[in-house]
Amino acid sequence: MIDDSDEEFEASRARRPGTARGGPDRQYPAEGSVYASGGATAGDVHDVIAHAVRLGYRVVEENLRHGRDAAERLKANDYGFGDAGADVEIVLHRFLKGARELGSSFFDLFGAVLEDPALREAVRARRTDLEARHSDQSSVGKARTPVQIIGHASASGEAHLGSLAGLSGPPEVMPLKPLSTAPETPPILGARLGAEPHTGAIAVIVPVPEDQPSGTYAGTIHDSASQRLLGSVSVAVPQS
Amino acid sequence: MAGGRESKAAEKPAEVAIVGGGCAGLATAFELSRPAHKGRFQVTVYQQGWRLGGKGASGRGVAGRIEEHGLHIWLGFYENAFRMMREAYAELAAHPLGSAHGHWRDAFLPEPDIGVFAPAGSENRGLWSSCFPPRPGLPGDPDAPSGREMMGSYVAGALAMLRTLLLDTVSVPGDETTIDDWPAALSRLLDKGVLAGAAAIAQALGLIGLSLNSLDPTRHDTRLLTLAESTADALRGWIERRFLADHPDRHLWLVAELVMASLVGAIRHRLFDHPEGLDAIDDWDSRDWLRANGASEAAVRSPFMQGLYDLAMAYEDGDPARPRLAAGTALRGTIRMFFGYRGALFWRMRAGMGDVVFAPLYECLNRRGVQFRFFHRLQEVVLAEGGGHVAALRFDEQARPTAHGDYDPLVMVSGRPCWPASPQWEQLERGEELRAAGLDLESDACAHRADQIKLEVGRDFDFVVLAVGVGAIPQVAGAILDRQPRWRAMTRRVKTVATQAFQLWLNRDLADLGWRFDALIASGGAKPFDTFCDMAHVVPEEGWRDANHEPPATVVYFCGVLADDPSCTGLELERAQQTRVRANALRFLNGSAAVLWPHLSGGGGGGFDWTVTAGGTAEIAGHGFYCRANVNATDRYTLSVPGSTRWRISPLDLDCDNLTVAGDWTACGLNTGCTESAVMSGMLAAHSLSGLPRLEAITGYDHP
Repeated sequence: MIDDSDEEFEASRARRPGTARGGPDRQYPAEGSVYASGGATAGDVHDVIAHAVRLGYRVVEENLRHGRDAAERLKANDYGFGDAGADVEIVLHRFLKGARELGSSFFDLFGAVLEDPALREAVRARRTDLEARHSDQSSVGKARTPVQIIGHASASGEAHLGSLAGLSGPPEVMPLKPLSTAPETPPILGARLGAEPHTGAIAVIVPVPEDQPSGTYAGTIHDSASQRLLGSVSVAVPQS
Repeated sequence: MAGGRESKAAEKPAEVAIVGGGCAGLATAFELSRPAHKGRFQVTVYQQGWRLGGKGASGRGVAGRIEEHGLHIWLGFYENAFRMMREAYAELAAHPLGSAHGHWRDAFLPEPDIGVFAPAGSENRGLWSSCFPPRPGLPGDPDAPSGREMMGSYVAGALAMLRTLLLDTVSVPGDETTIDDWPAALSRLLDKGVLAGAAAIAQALGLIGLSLNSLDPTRHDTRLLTLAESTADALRGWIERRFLADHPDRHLWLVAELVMASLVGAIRHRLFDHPEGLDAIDDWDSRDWLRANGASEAAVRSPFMQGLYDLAMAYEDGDPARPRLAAGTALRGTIRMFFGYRGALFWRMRAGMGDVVFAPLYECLNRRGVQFRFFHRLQEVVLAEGGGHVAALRFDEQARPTAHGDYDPLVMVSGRPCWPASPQWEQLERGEELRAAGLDLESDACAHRADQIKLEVGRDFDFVVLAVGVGAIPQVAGAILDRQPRWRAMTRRVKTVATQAFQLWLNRDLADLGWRFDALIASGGAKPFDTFCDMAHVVPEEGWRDANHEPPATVVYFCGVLADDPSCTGLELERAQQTRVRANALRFLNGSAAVLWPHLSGGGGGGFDWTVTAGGTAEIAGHGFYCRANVNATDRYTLSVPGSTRWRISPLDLDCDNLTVAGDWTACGLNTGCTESAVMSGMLAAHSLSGLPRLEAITGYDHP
């Protein structure tokens, strides 16, 4: 460093001017926003949803009825070979028409939600009985998730991971702690979720040092924002 | 007066030392040298080696062939970069003697096509390509849409696109239509109609379920929500297994899934009015975020996502098994890329980026009075006691121009000013000696110097713009890192990746070699060279005939990431990586080339037949092959890994009161490794010193 003892110079030295702000203004302003001026109400949204669901049921119901009619005719030996094609065709036509209307309704719904700030306020991730039920259900018989060990040649692992839908934050793997009570056994750090390189499937990637003491280690997998439990992982390090 | 310094009178221009002559540094120089400043700033650009450009530099080698760091394509939303270039070209053309660079429309060529390599086993094996129609205007036109306008139009555009996909894929006959040949009708319906209908139901119900699940339970019947969600899940799973798994048009629905997952995620995470905008999801990896918002595994593993990661070089440490791309930055970039382009989606350059961008910029800046000091490599930023400002800059002067004058860096090739691939030794003191020593003055490992120079505040500069690559910061700005925890964190968190590239000049065009698609940019291909482009249009700009060579039919550029090699450093690393890249290229040509170009015959030993390249024999590559390992600290590609963008330093930050930074590694609004980020950063650096340009005038800076 340079000893800056020239006070006169220091007083007159050029300096950067201040700036009005220090970063981007990313927030979409309510004023002037295309979303600011009124749009659908909560009631309209409910109507759109209800209409879409009714439509879906109607499509299914009509096809079921048509199929039931065909079955009755078949039972009564009143069903010719040529009838099958017409029936299938009618079902498909109705299916397609209903699908188009259903899909189009969804976009109407989507647009309505986007156009109203009050609705956007209502559309938020929530912790509900439904979510809790999902968590409970997904904790039973969770699919086994591959574990990829990096480093230790003989270690092996097992993981169970539930659905990653509806996360509030990135998934986080906690340090894998030893199950033994031996003091000063270091945990296994740095585990994370990633992609299994050959299949691209979600895997738990666990770096295990070559000199990791033998034993069984276990850790949990959380939603880092909501702390919702997503799954668990265990690693067995055999004796060398 | 202490130390030879003197107070500078207020009326004298402020001396600005810009260290680094890449896009960011030159953008800063461009802004500060505008006539509107009325000579308020005297700018000097200090550049190591012999040429400007940094990661974008190119040079002319044997027969005037263009040698690049990799494939450089500009995107149609690069508003700030295009505006700068259009102004530079216009200034040059306004000169009474005209300009050898021509009009900017001759230099930048629109490219509407993009392709991604389809996965193995798909019906449309080879390439899924798309032609994006021209959009009104040209990049760099006045009245660029603001971020505020753009978000609304993006959402509307995305929904319109999906509606088109859904409703227009097949026309549904009316109920009254009679069909005589029902097996054929059934077959047609099954081929397209059921796919459309089934996929529509799958998407609609799946997304209704997601959206309904997000509504306020106090306002809606949870039984309805439960029923809708469970029905949707069951039906979606059945349809995906039954209809979508192997259908040849499934790629359309993969795109639909990705777009819908993005929109659902934008609602769920309140991105439309979040104070941080899309930065709010930058801790997520892009694939993880899409997955969490309803995208299927097929969609997040699709060639489209693969292509996105490949184009962004988004592989930590160059490891293809570690794709890492911040979700918000990726979404912002994707939105602007597909919905914010003007003119064409992509813009190719007529010749090398050095020829089309940095040569005109150099000449324009020169005419404005900006000074250039080539062969100056920064060694240290010296802080004053207390650390409040930069007191000195220490440089190695790598070489000195001869007594005849300043160094003239450009050479003429095919009638245009270009950068050579090596210094013009004849203009340097001991030039022949330096040439014979085979020095690479751009190499980190080259410590050669003719002299050491120390610039002092007050005497030689008033302000410093540190526009070197982020990889060089630890070497040159140790004093700042010692004092500023944010700078230390930035150098740890903002990652870079080495890259590799090769170019092949072929005596036959690609159609003749069996390439079945139109010339376009393709990504998502086999590693390590997952991105390639047929660049036949640059061959006429090279000097083949002048060098008594038959011009090749085309030149093809390949590039990709390069894994780090921790086993060595310095010159050993450079040589090892260069050898590795060459070996990678040969392996690629002996393997994947036959897939790309099925009419390519094998060589005598079963390997690649080099006779198809300019100057090649059956077993030896001639001047038709060039490869490069970009491992120098200032050549490494800037990444946007999850969790990193919050650690970027902004040019507006005031850590030292006479210092700012510029580069695509800074917090510049776009936060990706690209030319547009670099130019935006340079504009911010200029603003930090002068108050201009206004931040609102930097297109995209305030984009959500």
